Amino acid sequence: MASYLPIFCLIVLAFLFAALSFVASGLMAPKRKSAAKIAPYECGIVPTREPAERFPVRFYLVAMIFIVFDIEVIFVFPWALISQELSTFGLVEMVVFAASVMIPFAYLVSHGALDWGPIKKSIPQLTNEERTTTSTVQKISVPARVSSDSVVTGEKVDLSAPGDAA
Amino acid sequence: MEHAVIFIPIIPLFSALFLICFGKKLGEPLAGWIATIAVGASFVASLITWIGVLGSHGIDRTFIQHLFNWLPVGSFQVQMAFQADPLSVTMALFVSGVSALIHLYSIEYMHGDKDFPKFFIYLNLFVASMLILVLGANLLITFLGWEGVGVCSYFLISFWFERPKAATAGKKAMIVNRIADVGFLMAMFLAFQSIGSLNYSNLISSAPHISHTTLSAIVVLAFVGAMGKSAQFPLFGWLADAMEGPTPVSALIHAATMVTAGVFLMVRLSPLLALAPGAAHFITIIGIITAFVAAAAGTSQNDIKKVLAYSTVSQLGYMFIGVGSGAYVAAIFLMVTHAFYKALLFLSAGSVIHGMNDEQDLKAMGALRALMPMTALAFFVGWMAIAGVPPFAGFFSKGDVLLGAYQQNIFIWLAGVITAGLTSYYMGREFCLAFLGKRRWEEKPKVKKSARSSHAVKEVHPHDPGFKMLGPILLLACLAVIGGLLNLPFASSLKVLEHWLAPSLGVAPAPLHAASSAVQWVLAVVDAIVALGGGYIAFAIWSKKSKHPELEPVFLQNAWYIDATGDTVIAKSGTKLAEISADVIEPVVIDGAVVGIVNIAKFVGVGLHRIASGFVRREALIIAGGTVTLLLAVGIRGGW
Amino acid sequence: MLAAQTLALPKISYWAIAPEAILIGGALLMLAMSATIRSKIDPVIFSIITFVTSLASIGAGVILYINVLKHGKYLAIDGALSVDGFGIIVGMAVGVAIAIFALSSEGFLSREGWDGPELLALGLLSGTGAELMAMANDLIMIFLALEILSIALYVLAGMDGRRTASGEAAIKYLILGGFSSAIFVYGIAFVYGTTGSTNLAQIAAFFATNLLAHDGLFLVGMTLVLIGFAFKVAAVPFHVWSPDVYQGAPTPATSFMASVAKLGAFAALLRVFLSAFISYKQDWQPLVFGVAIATLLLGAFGGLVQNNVKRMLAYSSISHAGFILLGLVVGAELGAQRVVLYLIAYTFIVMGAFSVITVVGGKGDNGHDISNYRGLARQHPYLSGSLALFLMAQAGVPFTVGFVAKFGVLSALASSGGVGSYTLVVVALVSSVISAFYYLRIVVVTYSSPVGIGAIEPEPLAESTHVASELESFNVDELSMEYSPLKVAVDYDIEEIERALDESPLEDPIGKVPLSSTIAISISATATVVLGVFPGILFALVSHATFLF
Repeated sequence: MASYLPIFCLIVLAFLFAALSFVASGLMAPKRKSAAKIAPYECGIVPTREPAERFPVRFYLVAMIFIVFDIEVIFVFPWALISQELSTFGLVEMVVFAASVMIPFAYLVSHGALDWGPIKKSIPQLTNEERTTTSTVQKISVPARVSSDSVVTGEKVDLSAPGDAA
Repeated sequence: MEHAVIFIPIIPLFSALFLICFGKKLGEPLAGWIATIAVGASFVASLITWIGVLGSHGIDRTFIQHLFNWLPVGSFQVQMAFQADPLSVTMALFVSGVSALIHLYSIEYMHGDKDFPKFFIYLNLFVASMLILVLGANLLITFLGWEGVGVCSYFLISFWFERPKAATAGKKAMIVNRIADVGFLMAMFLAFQSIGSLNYSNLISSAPHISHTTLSAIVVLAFVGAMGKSAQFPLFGWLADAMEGPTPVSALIHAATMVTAGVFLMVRLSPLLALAPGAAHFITIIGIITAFVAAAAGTSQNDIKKVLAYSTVSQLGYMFIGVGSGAYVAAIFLMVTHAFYKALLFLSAGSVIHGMNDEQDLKAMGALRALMPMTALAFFVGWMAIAGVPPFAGFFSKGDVLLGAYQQNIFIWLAGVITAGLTSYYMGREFCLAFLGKRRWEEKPKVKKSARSSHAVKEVHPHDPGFKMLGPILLLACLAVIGGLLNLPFASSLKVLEHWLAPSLGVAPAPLHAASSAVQWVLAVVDAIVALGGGYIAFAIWSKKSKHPELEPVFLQNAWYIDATGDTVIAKSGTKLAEISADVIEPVVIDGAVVGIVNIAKFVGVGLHRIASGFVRREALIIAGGTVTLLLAVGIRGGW
Repeated sequence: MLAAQTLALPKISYWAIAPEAILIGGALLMLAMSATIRSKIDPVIFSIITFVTSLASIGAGVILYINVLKHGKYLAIDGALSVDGFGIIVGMAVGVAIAIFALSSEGFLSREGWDGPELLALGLLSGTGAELMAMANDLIMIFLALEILSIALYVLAGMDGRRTASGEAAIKYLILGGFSSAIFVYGIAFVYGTTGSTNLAQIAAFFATNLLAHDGLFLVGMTLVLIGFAFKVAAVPFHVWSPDVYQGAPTPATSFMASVAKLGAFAALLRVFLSAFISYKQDWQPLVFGVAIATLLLGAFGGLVQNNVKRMLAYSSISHAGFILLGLVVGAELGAQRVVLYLIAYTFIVMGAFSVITVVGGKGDNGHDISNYRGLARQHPYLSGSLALFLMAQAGVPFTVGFVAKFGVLSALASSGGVGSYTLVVVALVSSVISAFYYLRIVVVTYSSPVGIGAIEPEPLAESTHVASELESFNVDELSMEYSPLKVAVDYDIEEIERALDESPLEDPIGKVPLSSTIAISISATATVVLGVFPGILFALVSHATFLF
């Protein structure tokens, strides 16, 4: 056990450092609260407009499909190098692998994963009236930002219990 | 051949299950026919088993069919096994035979009832239970059937449960039987504790080795159970009330089969009983009290079925006299012949009730002889048989019992003979009131309180029933006439039943004063004279006039107030206890405890709620905390 | 450079992976159909495909099982899979769960108007993971299978786009699942570091011949692996996700989590701890002991205050997890067999119960409050009767398979006679009594009068304000006193209810019960009763559920 002693000491020191800095900053830092400081985006400047537009979810979708192909390439590349030695066995395995990647890909494409532009198929029943952009994205109004309640409200945006919705 | 024994109870059981599933679809009368055929098949199976048992001799005539290990609990091993020996086969034969006839009768009797298929489900289930009871190879299987018949009896008594009286009667039968069943259960516990087995074979073989006191206790406790099921004093009130059920039920359960279960049980345990003379005396005394008290009560009843009910109780008393005085064969003999003539009487009474549009009051009948000649004839045969007029069946069977009683104690014999006179008298009274004398009923329709049967609102036109009802009646009438052939006392070779049953029964100690054959003849003649005399008196008094209030004292109409006393002493105080429980114990003690527990649970639950807040970060923290805790636990155990 | 070396290829036994391969094949088939057929495909077709696939998988399992009985157990795929009775039987139970899932999903899909194959395809993929977990003989393989199982479940949990609760459930499950996976892999790393292998057989062999001078790191690894599993099976205190996720996820997905995920995770947990880590039994037994007690008690108490039936069953499944952990405490092969027995029994009763709940949920999958169950017996006696049966079975009432399961585990525990095993038996019995309370509460409600008819609505207990302020989301009002079996019976005037019902028949929020759901419920109910009355079948089956080594 003795050989682990330095590691243990290091861990203790790391914890101590973190804890002490935390405590020290809490004790020493001046606390002058202002509405702007306790606002969620607390970087000194009250934003005058909403941040830049959100990315369409589609970007993430494309990124994920890309990763799938990435992974396929990682498999295919070494196989290609030694495909001679692997012979029929390797070929069969690779075909099985490719098929199990390609079939879901075909599924994705057929369901519009790569369709750009205006959405052709609308799926109205998937959303209900309660879920609009205005209801899901909470804007913090000026009065709310000023009152100290807003901190609590900010907390509520967190993943609260599912009971909320029901 | 003996292997057919398992089919005896199984066939009606499966038929009942089948009818539960499809009975409603089959409807009337198909459901009834299926039930009847099933019981008939069961009778055939009994016959086959009987032939099989006949094939072997003496002690080999006991065949036990093991099915499976029912309750393997440590040293408590109970086999699901059926026993075919002379006693059980005799019982199975007459139970399935009489039941088949009554099933057939019911098809016509229950015609038009809205729950026709249900009735046959219950009947089949009842027959299956009864056969399990008689065929069981150990006390627990017998108890299974015992409870089964109890439940079916409850269902059947309160079959017309819209009538409050029927519903109450059903409950009463159930409760009284349950009270008595405690005795049976305790007998089983005691038997298991002292012998370590519930099998009849083990009980009988080890009976001589256990203490006399224990043995007596087992027998007496079992008899307490039998007192309930066989309606012995003072637990007989339920049987009279049970007449609220449909008449075939009265015939089947409350005359021929179920009520004899107690007698059967005591005969089954006769090897034990033979070793416990004190218990045997107790049984004899209860038997004679029951026989007399019920017969006296029977003289003053006005309900056609109630007379028969008290008569049944009285006859059961006779059977127990036989059991108690060591005349086991006589008890069984009486049981079998009684099944014939009592079923006959009930079915005839049912035929009268049927013809009179559900009228049961004897005082509102009269002069039915001309209108229902066959029924009248059948009833007359029944009367002669139960009265013990030679050469009807009752003469021989009752004679055997009385002979047994005489050999024990002459006073018991005397009481028995007086009761026999009473029996002949009240049956004669019933016959005269129903079939002779003046007509005391109207033809105009009257709306009965139970508009359940379709024939309830028609005009009253008494008539003999159709063949499905009349057939069983006539067959039973023949049996009631010739039933005595089973065990004629004239020569040893004619005592068929006695030789046949001998391997299954215990050997009672030799009687104190055995009667010589001359004395036996004298006794028989006295029996016959008393029977005829009782009958004649009844005829003389009741065939002309229907009102003799002086002969129907109120206390006899109320059956000596025994039921009323029980009601006052036990039921009222029980109600009081229940009220105290409900008003004091329940809300304060039990509810308090429950509420306390619930409050604790609520406290814990709410606490858990606070932890499980639904915030992901807090949940992650809990998981992390759990991880650290487990790691620490390992670390502490590891010692570093 | 490379060409000089010859490649040692592992021998692939395709039979050994046939049950899993069939499931994947079924999933791919459905995706391909959905991709190529333009017109709308009836969910019935997908259900049938899933059902047939799962049956085929069970069939392959049976062939494999017979083969194992004849020729003995063996290692396959370079030691990554252990083909033995234990794995195959659990795998077949997974197949059964998927089959029932396929049936009960059909009604759900039609009712909710979901026309894609996603729910069922993900179910099949998730099931693949569970079957692999049951057979996996390598920690890495277990981890892979666990991820195959879990990732599909994360998506399943979030499939109901109309309910925010569903999305929340998915996120919650994903984050916490990722957390626990990390812990699990960390544990594997420690184990590998100390023993030099991730293969269970080799780890066992290592401990058979070596003694670690300093086993601290191994113990840490072992504990972390245990925690990874404990999260998946929802053992306390790693259960925190389960009530929320069970409630939020679409009901068929919940049933999947409650059955398939637990089957796989418990199988792997047992295999790892009873084969590879068996020499450290002295060290892990107390941990499992503690976790089992906590799980039993929390599962029992937690369910008491719930008003959502899915949450209630979440706590019930926590309580079951406690029972199954008892089998692990027993430790020996007997324990493993009784756990398999419990898992099979549990599969039937939990799938049956959720099949009923799926139907009762009604359109929108929202009707899971206990008030939705009022008067169920009047409108749907079959549903309420079978629900009562399943809940009784969960409570462990005799003549149901639930009793057999609990009896099996407890008797094994009592006979093991280890330290504190009787304590555990007592705790287990007490907890099953407490949990019977909330099972019965549902049953009583189904047999009480329908909403709004002659019913005296229960007055909520005074709301405990300190709770309410923090958690508006929960309705901690009437705690069961108002619904208690003692009270309900007297609260209603039967005649008045009858009259009211005659005057205005209630509209039935459930409507016609789909045939497929009826079949699913019937299969489960039959198994519950038959196996409960003839437990010999189960005991005979699990007597072959042995490990390879």
